[in-house]
Amino acid sequence: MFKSFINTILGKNKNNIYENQQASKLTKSFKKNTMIFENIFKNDDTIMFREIQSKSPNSPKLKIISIDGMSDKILASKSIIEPIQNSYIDKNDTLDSIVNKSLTTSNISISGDIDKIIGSILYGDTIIIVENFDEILIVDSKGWSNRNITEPSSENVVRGPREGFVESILVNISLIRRKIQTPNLKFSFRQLGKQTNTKIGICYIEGIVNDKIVAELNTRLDKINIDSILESGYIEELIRDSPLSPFSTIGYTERPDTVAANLLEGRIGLLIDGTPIVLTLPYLFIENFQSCEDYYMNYIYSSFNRMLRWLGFFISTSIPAIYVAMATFHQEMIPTPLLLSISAARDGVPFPTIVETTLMLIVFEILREGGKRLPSPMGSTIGFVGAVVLGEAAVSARIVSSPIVIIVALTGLGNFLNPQMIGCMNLIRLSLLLLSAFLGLYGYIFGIIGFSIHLMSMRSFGIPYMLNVGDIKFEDIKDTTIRAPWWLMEYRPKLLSSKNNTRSTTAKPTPGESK
Amino acid sequence: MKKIIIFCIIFCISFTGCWDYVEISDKAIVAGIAVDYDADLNQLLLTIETAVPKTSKGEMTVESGIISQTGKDFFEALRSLVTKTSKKLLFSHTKVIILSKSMIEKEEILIGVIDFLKRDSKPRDDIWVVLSNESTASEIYYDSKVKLQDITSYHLDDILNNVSSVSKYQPIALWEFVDILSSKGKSLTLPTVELDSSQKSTVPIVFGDAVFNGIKYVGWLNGSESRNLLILLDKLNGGIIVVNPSSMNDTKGSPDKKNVNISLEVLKSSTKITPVFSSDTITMNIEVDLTAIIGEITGEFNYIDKNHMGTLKKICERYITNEISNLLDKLQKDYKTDVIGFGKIVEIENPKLWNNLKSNWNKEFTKINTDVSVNLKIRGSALRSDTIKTER
Repeated sequence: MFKSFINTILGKNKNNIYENQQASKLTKSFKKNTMIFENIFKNDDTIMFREIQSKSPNSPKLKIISIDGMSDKILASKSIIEPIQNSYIDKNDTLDSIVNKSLTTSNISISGDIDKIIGSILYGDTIIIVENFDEILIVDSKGWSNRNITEPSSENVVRGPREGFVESILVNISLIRRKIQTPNLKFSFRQLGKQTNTKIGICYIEGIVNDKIVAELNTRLDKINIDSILESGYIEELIRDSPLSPFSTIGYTERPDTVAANLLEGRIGLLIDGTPIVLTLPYLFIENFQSCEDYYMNYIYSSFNRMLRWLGFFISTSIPAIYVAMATFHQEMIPTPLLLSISAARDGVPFPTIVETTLMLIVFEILREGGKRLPSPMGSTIGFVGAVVLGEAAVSARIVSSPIVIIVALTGLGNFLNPQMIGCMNLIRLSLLLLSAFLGLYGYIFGIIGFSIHLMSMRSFGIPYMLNVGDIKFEDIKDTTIRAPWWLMEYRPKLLSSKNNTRSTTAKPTPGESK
Repeated sequence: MKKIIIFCIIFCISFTGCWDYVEISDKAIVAGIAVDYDADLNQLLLTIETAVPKTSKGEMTVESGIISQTGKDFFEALRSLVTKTSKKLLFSHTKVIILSKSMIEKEEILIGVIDFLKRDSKPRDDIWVVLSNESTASEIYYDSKVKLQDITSYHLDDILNNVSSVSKYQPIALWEFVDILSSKGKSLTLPTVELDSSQKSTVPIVFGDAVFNGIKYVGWLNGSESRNLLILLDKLNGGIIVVNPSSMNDTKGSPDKKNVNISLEVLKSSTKITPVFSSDTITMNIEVDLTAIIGEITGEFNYIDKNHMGTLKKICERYITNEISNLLDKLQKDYKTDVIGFGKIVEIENPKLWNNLKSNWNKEFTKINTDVSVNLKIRGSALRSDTIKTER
């Protein structure tokens, strides 16, 4: 008793107004039906009601309801109002015959479920209430404006398709469908978010995908109970493995070709309405170092690029830590000329090396974060400030020593090779840096061991996160740090697609054989 | 379980040897050490050269800082140096230690220095040990004005590293020094450093080897003798052999009676010493295989002709054989010191005999017969196939 009282006060009672209104049901009374919708959209000025009649003298009353801005007004007047007004609808006609006789739009459904109807109105459909029916016509008239399909700015390629996802889930589905034209490509939808009712599309290829992973994804999605889903990040954090880890266990992309490739390897795509980002899962550590372009370019060059990304990862995470360890603990490991130049550069610098390094790394992060949000005309100013103030002035004023500037610049360069991992690399870099500042290389190795254990223990939807990273069998490393030529990649990744494993049986091209 | 893991982590962190966070700029980088012995005061005189890096107007220069300190022993003197350098000394980048003759004969001081260098964790085992041919070791630092490099010690280090292009000394690293000193059957040589003031500025040069019997200085080998020693030790990797046939008493078969010098650049050299034991004598068969190219010929000599080629080869072989025999004579008769390691060879080949001989090896060494044979392969003659003729 007391508890429920408290809950009422704190607003914890889950019955909100919206749900209360759903209690009412559609009846055969035209007036009551109209009243229901008028009540639901009571204080909403964008809702449009219009009552029309057909030419028939015995015409039933029809009420058209839609939302201004969401539905296409021209379509409504040309394909709904005009044909109805010009046709002869009798009171005895069924809803089906009305649809058949008088409506010229293609996608029309009949429903008595008030939840669905409201959802449709909110999603831009037009509904028609017909006198004497307890069911309602839902006419597809979605007509909000979309962003055009453009090249995704976050994942540019030199060679490869130039299209990127947009904010509309329907357009996004079409983009994927256009790449994979098989009836086995399945989409299943659900709505998440009690207020936003965001549409989520789960997409996979039947016969390739591992059914257990689909089932696991569905159970995890079932557990979501949240009021809003505004971006894919919401879902990612709600369903991911190792929620405390800095490493992402669900991938994301803006490119349809990447999603298509992932689907074809047996992964699942998760489309979220309202964002151009599509989630892919399971996600492996090795995917951080792969880019869609790798598969389009010469395989030798691609393999080299992948190794560069590993190198970038190492540089970005370890160089500051190794520098601090060597310069403050293991001076004997530095070649003599380098030691002399470091010593000369540090001459007169007031701070210890670790303070210098941390300071400069933080300044670099400030520049990076600042440059990201600023409008582009001001963005270049940031770079200028960074180069002049830090590169030149700080060194000549002896606030920091010049090797540190080089180290930080190297770190930044390494960052840019793996843009999706920047946040995670920052964390690794700082923890390794602190460890080596306390314990030297011993501490650094300590940190490396710790991160290795963490990575090795992780899973993404049941698939080991470090799958194929430490493998030495040629079959397993074909698409890891190296990218084997397509005529060698006969099989899909083992654990991801257990059913239909064969990808290709094309032999190595041998031109001239046909002669 | 969790507690155990936490304890493990804490112990791992706290029981390490790496607790010494020290900034590079807080340490004085010791490039080289010179050790002298002051007999009057019965004290050790330690001179260190530190590399002092400086930046001025964006350009880095390294200056040499030389400081001396006396002390009862090496360690004490080192620590007292801090009062002069103001910084702790960093020995990780020390390249050279220069000993003086007076100091090396004082056994307890020599042992003290080596003991410290081997015991302390910072100095490396590959520090070069050299002997000053001047009266003291410290004057190498004080008086030399190296122009090519600012730090005398690094200058010496480079000279010793480039042994294969000159082969006029045998570099000895600290570990070798200790190794040879503490074993029987081989005696020590040390490369000698001296100041060359024949030019306008005084430059330290490394030239020749000092020969020790135990720790007693017995004599000195000049540049070409040192090279021949390197041949005997199978350590020759390059260098020049100047064959001067006219200097030999036996000039039979030489191209002409003119003074013709032939410089051979050694490409490869391998030496095999096999002992032959007879009832009362030991004979060492020394086979030298040399591969060389002709680097320079002074005078006229048609060597490309097959016959002449053979003659040239024979002259050179005889000359080198002669040189090596001379060196062996000098070591056996004058210095009476086994720096080649014949004793080691006997120990390996005939341990029983060695047990009898080892107590009196210095005397036995002088009695060893040697048989030197040199096999020279002349690979080529660089860019020319004949000598330059001048028409007068």
